[in-house]
Amino acid sequence: MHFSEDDLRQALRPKDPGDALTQRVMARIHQGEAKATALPERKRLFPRLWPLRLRPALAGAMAAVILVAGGWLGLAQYKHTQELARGERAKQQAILALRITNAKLNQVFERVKASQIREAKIKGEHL
Amino acid sequence: MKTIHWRNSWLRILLEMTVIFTLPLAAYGQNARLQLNNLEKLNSKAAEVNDVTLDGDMLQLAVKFIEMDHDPEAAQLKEIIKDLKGVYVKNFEFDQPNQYSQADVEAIRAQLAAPGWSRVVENRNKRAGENNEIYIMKDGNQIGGVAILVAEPKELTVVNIVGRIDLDKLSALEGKFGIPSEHKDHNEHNKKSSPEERHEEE
Repeated sequence: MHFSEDDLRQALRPKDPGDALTQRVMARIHQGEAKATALPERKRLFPRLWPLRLRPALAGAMAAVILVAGGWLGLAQYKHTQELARGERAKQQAILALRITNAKLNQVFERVKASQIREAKIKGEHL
Repeated sequence: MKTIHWRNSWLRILLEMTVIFTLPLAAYGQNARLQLNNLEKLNSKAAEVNDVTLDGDMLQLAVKFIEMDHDPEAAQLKEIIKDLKGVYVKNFEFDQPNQYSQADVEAIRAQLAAPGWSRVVENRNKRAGENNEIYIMKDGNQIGGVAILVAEPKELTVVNIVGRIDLDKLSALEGKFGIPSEHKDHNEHNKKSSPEERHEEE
């Protein structure tokens, strides 16, 4: 293909872009600014948690730690409640045991006393 | 033949070693704890069962909880319990007489015939079918164990206390923690006795 000098001059001559170009350029600039400002806003909402979005492994580890700590606290609370119930039961059992012991000791001594009185009376009658 | 002899000699050594190691253990185990498992079968026959099994750990736990009460009466209770190593009570009340056998009582009595135990009180009333026995095991100058065996037609009670116990301190608890006083118990006993028995006692 052969181009003449006139053809090249015609093709490379300056053209007027028109009014729409300025509007399109300005619209693109505003779009870019809006994208740039949107990110810091989300960051501001959860400033401490934001790094976790970038580190899922760290987030998982933290969740695991929270779960383990929660479980441990729950277990400790359960054990404490069980221990309280066990202690109260032991105390009540000890009181019951001493109550029965005392009652039976008194019962035996009363019976011994009664039979001694009976024997003494029988001896007295024989004399 | 030689092999059998070799085996026999090893068996003899093994037997001797067993005896050597078991005897001190048996002596160590000779404490005031009674085996009351043979009475478990009465649970189903009894109308009311009071079964207390408190070993050393449970007693120490009970002491801790008694301490929490910050009560002078609780302090008395703690004084009694703190030196104990075990408390075992089996009390069966039956609706009908003769629900337990003499063999059940004899199994307990046989244990109380072991060295260390001495019977301090025995009261038998054939007419009423009552056997009341109190045994103690000495620990130096103190009481290291107590066993109370009360066998009545409709009630069987075995109390086994292991450890140092002061019976005076125990009687000082009367009227506290629901522990009946001697006077009240005496009245209750009179109420329970038959008119013939009361007449006989009078």
